[in-house]
Amino acid sequence: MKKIWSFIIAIFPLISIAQNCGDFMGIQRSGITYPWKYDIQSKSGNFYAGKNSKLNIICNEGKDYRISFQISSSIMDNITIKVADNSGKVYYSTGVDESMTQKLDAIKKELASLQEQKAKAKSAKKIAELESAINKLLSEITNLENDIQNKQYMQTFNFEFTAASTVELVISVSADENCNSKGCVSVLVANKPSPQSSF
Amino acid sequence: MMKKIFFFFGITCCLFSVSCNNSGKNTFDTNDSIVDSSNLVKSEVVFQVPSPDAFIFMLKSSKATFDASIVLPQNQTYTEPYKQKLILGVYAADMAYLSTFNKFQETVKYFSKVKSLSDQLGLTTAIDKQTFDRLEKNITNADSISFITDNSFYNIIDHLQQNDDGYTLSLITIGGWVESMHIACQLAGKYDEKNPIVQRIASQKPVLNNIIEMLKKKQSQPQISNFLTAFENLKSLMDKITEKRENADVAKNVKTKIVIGAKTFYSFDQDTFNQFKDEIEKLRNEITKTV
Repeated sequence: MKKIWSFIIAIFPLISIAQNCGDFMGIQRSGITYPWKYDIQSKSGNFYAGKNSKLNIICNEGKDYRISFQISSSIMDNITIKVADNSGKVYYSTGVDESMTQKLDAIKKELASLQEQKAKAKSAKKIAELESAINKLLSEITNLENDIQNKQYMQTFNFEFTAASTVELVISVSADENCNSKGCVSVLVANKPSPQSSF
Repeated sequence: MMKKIFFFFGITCCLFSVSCNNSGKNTFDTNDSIVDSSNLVKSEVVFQVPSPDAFIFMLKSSKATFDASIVLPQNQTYTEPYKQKLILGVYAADMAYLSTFNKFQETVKYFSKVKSLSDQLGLTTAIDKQTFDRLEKNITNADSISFITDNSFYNIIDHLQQNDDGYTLSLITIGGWVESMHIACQLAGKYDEKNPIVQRIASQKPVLNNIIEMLKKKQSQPQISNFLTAFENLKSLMDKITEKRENADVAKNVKTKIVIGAKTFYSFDQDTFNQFKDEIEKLRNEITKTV
């Protein structure tokens, strides 16, 4: 008898934790402190393999905005977020930055070419010049690799900006196909009057 | 006894499965969604609309002068749920206007109207009794009043979003936006293209676009579809507005901050502005008429 009651009592909290993304947002909302204000354009939802959502929000002129993201740990590694305006210009993104990896590939190609030239070079002066250029590229590669790694593993999940005019932003959230569980993502929008618009 | 427990457990399981369905809907809206073979929504687009207080704040920073006569009188009574939803939006915008301009006593009166309408619409959990008491205790504190009233409205919107009540949400949004535009048009006074309030009204074109997209998802409801037509007429007027953006010098000067957008001048000619104003007044009369 006791076992049955224990089972019923134990299962309730698990059920509610597993299903409610609204509560997920509620917890995040409670962390907003003055002068920031909650913005009703905030939204939370369930995400699973292959799902992508576009949230269109309006940011009013003369206000500072902070968009924060909270992701269930079970799907954290599978979620990509991007904030862009309606012309497609990206202001914030998570995950691997394609432009950075492309730049890294280009530098690596240049490095290979210089190393080849160095192997064929005969004069000591030319070898020294190439050596210096190679060292410069190696240092650039290390910095870029660090930046890429930082962006990937030390991601900040919030984005702050000032709206100089009333603008529409598109927040894209997607879960990759390798995502093997279901979880919540909440997009919390907060705003405050921009100090520049006062006085 | 055992039977009772299993009966109770059966009932709770049924309730749970219903609540799971609701929770499932507590994702981004699904009307634009492409559904895959396993019936899971794979792609969706959601259009959000800022609260009326965000726009009213812009009016105050445009040096608008307060005019008490432009709000909807609080003694109006509406019995139809459809009207009550629209009027809830109207009163929420009026409450934001009064609170932004520090009219404390009036704010509390309009707050009680918003609360009473939300009670009648079954949104009681969104504003509790303690909130009302807290408001009365903080009657002279501008920041507290605005915090309490704004948050109460946000709770109503959150409640509707969590329960996937897009129909009610659309009607409240319609009422709130039309009332905000009515307030702005009245405060603008005589037309002058350079008038900051006229400029602020012109800047709301993206908001109107998002409202239209929101309404399209509920256009199967005749009442929403009528408003959609009216809003598309307003959009055709706003499409005549041209924008001249200044260079984003602000972004260059503020190195520690990301600045999005640039100072914009909107060309909103007198004829178009007057037509827009007339359309807003027609819509407002339609929304607020008691019969």
